[in-house]
Amino acid sequence: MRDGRKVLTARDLLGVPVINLVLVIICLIGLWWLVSASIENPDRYLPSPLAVAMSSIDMIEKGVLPSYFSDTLVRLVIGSIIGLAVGIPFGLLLGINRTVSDIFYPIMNFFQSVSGIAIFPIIVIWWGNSDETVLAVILYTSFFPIAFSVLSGAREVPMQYLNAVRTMGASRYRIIRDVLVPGALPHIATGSRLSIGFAWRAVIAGEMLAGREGLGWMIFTGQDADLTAQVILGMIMIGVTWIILDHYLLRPFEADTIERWGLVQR
Amino acid sequence: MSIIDKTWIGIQRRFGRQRIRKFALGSIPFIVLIGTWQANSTFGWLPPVFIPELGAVWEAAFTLQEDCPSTGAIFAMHNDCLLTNHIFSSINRVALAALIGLPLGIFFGILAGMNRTVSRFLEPVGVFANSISGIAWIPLAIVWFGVGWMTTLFIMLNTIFWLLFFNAMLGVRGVSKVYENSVLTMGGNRWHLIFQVYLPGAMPSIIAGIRMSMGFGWRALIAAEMIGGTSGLGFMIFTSAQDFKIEEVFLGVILISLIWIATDRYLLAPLEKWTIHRWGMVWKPE
Amino acid sequence: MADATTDTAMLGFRTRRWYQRRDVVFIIVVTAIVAVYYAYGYVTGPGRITAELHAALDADPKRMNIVITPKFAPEQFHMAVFQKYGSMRGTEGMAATLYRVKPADVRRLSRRYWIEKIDLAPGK
Repeated sequence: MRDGRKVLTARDLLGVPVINLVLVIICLIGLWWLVSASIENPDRYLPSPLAVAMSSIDMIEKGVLPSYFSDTLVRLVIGSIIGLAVGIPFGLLLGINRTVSDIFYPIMNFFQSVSGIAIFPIIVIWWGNSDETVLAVILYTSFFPIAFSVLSGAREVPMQYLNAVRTMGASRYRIIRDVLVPGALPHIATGSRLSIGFAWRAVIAGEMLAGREGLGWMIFTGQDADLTAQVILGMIMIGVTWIILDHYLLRPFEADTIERWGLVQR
Repeated sequence: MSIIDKTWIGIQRRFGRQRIRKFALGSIPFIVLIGTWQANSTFGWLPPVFIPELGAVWEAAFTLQEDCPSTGAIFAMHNDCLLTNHIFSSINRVALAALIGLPLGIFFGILAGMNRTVSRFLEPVGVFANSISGIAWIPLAIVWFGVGWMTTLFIMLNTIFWLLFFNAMLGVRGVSKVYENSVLTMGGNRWHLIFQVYLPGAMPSIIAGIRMSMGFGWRALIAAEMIGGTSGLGFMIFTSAQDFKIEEVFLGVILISLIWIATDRYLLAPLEKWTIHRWGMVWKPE
Repeated sequence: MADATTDTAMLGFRTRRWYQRRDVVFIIVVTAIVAVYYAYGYVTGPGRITAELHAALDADPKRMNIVITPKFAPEQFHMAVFQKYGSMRGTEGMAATLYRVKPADVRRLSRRYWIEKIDLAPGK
């Protein structure tokens, strides 16, 4: 790949040439400033970049922003981990036996189309506006992508490998451990990325709807209290957090897993 | 052979044995679910406020419609025809957002993808706009447009536009330069380029983008109706949840999922099948 | 002996150890940042507690009354944080009086970076 060269250039870190990114950001902020300066009531409709920056500094000084940010991230991590921990075994179970997957596939399809957002009012009636509700919504949303991915991954493991291991006298457990799980690992990685993406969207929506403290709540109350700078700050943070998560954690995880475990057919 | 054997063999011939098997196996969980649901109401395991009775959900559909004067009034969206009003509001917004957002997104995406430097410049913009999920735009939309149909329409439009823009741009960028050059050498002008090279070349990305963006847009629309809407299915289930009318919530949820399943199965998946699968642009192993 | 499992030219990915994987590096960096953040809190925490409060804490009572002075006038967010640990009694200027706080919670509050100092409430 890189012949063992350990030098990290800025281009590697950012994925695009640095000058490109810097130019785009400067242009966007400039455009923003112009639009904000030309409308009549900027503080309400489109605060200038300066106002948003001041608001962010103010919130960091007062310890508000780190608290909200970490609350949201903690919910994301816990929800994702539980969702993956439930979804991966379920998908493997379904992928082993054709009959079992034929039984559960249609109902999983049905429940997947009831998105986490639509199931939120039902869960709110059961558990009220609490952290458990948000966690339940995150779990619901993140379960299906990973289950379906693992199911298709387990099914795509070529029969030769399964038969080869069986002829060598492997027990069911060995088959799962040595053939199915490694064979499905690329799909597990892709499915994890999709699932955590859905979970992130669900965290923000859940916080907005259930009124729990976090980034989603921050933008919702910002709109309520007429602090549009807070709303825009929250949106920028949501976007940047997802970009960092996706480009530095999830995509490398997927790429590195496929690189190590992907079968030749890919 | 008895008549039963003959009909059974006839059915198998008509539908295919594997299909029947899949259908029968697949309906087992549904039967179990509905059975447990009914058992819950008869035996009273959980209070009816948590899981409504099966019959109550069915009746709620008619209770919501009872003030409706006539079938004509349904289509005129008379104020008292609550359920159909909500259904039509949501579907209208979907249709409108698709009608405006799809062409706009594809147009600007292809435009952005045509010039290599412009597309490299705009790619971070697309990435950033896509990473702010449609739901996070809701408070800003409420600030700009107030609570109402404009907000919900804007959210879905926004979601569809940025996803399609990004997908179309990447699709056009992925078209091999050989095709561009060959059309140009044969004396093609810009329109030939767009319709003969870029549009077909970006088709897989665009069609996949349409399917994805409709899914995301539908979910964002429901969320927008919950938070900042005054009508629509999302609004209906949210307000019913606040009044603890769980039959209406269940009814709304079932309707939401049925509408999406129907759209995906009978509109979007066939669209994908008839365009890019038939033209051999993507290969989906079975 | 260069066979397929160790020959670098044949299996390029093996040259990358597990801790050199990009996602693992990301997790390590993030954990390090979080650890530094919490360590900073632990280090500066005792500095925010006045001497009398230290003495009172050493006596290890069940509950105590304290006066918290953030670096600015406390807003609703901070009041909510205080409410989690005790019952608010009042605010004068920038200081907030909090009654019936457990000693462990006093220390937990002292680690927040937006708190200036915590004092023992006058009287009993």
